[in-house]
Amino acid sequence: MVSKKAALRWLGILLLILVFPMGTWQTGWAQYPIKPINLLLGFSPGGSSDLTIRAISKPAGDILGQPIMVVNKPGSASAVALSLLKNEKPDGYTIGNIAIGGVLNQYFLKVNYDTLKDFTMIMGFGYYVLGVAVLSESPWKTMAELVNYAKANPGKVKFSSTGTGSIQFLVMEALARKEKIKWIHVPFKSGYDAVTALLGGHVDVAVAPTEWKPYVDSGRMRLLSTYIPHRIPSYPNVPTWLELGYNISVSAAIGIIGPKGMSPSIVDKLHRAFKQAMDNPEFRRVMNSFDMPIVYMNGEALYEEIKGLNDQWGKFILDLGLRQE
Amino acid sequence: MDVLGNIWVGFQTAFQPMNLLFCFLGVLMGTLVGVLPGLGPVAAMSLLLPTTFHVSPVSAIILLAGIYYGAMYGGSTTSILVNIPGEVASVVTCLDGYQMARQGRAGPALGISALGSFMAGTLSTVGLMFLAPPLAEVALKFGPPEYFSLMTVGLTILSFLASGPMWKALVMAAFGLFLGCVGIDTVTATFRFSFNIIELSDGIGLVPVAMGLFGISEVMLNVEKSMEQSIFETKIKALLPTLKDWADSLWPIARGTVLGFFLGILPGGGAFIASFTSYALEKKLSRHPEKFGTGMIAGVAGPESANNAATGGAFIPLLSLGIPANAVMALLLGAFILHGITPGPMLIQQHPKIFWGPVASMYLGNVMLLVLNLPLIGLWVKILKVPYPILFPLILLFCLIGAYSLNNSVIDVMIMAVFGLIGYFLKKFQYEAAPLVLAFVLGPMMENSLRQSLFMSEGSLLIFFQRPISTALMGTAIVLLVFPLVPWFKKKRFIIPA
Repeated sequence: MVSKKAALRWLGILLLILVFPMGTWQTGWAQYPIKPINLLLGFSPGGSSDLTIRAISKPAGDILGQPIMVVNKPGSASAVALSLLKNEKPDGYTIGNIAIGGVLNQYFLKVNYDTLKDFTMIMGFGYYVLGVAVLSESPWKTMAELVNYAKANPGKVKFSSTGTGSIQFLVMEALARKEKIKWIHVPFKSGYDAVTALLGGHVDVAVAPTEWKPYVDSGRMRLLSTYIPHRIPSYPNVPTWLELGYNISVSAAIGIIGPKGMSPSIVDKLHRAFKQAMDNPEFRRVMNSFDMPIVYMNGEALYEEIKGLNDQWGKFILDLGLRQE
Repeated sequence: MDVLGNIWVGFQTAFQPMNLLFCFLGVLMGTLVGVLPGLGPVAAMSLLLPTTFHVSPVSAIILLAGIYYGAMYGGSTTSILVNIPGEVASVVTCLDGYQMARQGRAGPALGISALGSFMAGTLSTVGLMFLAPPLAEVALKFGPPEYFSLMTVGLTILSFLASGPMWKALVMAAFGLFLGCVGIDTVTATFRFSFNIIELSDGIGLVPVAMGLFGISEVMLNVEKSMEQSIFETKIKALLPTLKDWADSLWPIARGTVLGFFLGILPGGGAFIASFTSYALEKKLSRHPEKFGTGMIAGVAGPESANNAATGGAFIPLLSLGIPANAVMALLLGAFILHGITPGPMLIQQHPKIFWGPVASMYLGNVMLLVLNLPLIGLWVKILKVPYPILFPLILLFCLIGAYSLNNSVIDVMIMAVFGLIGYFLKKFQYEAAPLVLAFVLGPMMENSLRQSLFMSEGSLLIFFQRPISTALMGTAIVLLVFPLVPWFKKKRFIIPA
């Protein structure tokens, strides 16, 4: 038979245990956010993805009233971060970023996520810039000249890319099939390595995101073309692949996402905060320094972009036989 | 000469109070970060990057650069004291530095390490000032075939690292090569040995492996011993290096500096390869090669100088061409870009202060580091006197935090634990970890370079001999392989390292 005192003591402890976590019970609605928000960033510190996401997260956090803590979880072009994000609670306190690497990865290996089904698209804020560059001493002044030369001389042109799993390689391969070209692919681990190989004359063409920028600006390299949907603002004379008649283009959108099942009011709050953050001058400066176009996409538009990437390249990768189980 | 005028401008910039403060903060933080195992300069720099938004680009670069070379000073501290490499490049310092600490000679080890680092850092900064643009162009000539040949030389050096039987070293190297295969393959986008653990798809991290193999296993071995026996010789034999230590170290420091500087310029693994190569070189040139691994000061002086000189060299591709030689440089590049400056061939002409300011402040930084580190030696040595039962849980704690901090991932901590266990058994059976680590780093680089080269040559192996630099390096590798056999050819007796 329990004594009254002991019973009261146990009741007190029980109440304490119940009351303590009460703070977290209300992580729902009108008061969101009441504690800092984690953003799982799928890239290592210091790159264009890291710096631009940090640049938009800081003002967005200020607007929301709680800081957004960017946590780097690099690995496999954001596949690690995405697989972690998928399993997080959709309470708005953990969000992440989406970029093309994470999308393509699901066709190369067995990941536990599906970029279209497992995430809530919150907002997109820009595109990566991608281009094809040669040394200025090289004989090809336009992309058409390069393509014609490669057609006529199979196996002679060597191009560097950021790896066989990268969109850089995929577009060149797609172009090769379309135009019946046979060129040699030399894969490297990063954009810097790919561009350095061109600088040193070890390859003829470099296909990479913005790493060629300083050399094009200084005249050491020539930007032949870009394979994103619109011309790059700083290089208005460089044609896109669409304009050149090769019906290939990649909109490598960059945006904020969250786990599936987030409540619409929380998504809306995040959406509005990040959208407002896009006007922040620091953020604009960072995007401009990487030459990334600042384009707003709402949740549906971002979803369409990602779906487009999936449709366009998913089948292509499987056709190439690059998938392993 | 224009350079001298620029140097003057550089020093004027570096001596501005704001920049002096930033330099000091940078090297202080760098030292702390270097001392803490696992936590590397990249983490510290990325944390501080946003705070540099509102200061001038020169100050920002001075701060961040200070963290980098400061970490090189700090990294050797834990290597010597507790056999935990604080930095990847400090792995080699564990080999002899820790043994010196066990013999009560931690003070001289730390002292020579600091002084060697200072001299190497200063000299490499001089090299940076005068030789940056031409050297950068030379670095560009290193394409995949040259890298492959360089790695081949690196692997042949393995044979000089082994103090025990050669076959054991080769087994370790084979194991290291195998471990290096784990991860995504750049050429075919295939995932090798990742067992669907996504975190392994970028390969097994070097830092958790090194921390486990060297540090954790050492803790496990020490804990086995009776608590009455002290791990470290309690009678500390002098805090500062003796004259003899100096005499033994001077040439290794000189050689290490030159070696480190040139190897650091090459993108991809400069400081690490430099320190291993320096160790092997010193062992080869020493009059007592068999004593390496038991506490030879040349084995500390050379590699420590090499890895500090390599930091100076690593700035060259970044500042002259805008190419980052390693992850730290990539972060620095990001910092430049954030401040609206795109480093590249135009940097020195368009923004001379951004080049000469930080370069001049590197001198100051090295001096500050020396002043910071020398008095601290007494403090570090006292730490060794803490009873081991209290010390080792702290060591483990720092290692756990350090391993986790790399990628915010528990997988790295588990890797460290697993390799701690492996390292323990390796030591019990008297296998050496150094060849494993070397092969682990070199293997993937060699494989990538080989395949890239073969792509370039459309399958022909002759490419390695068709280019001047590559031929020279391959020639060196062949000579190094054949050289030990020469006495046998001459039918002379020679001593097999046993």
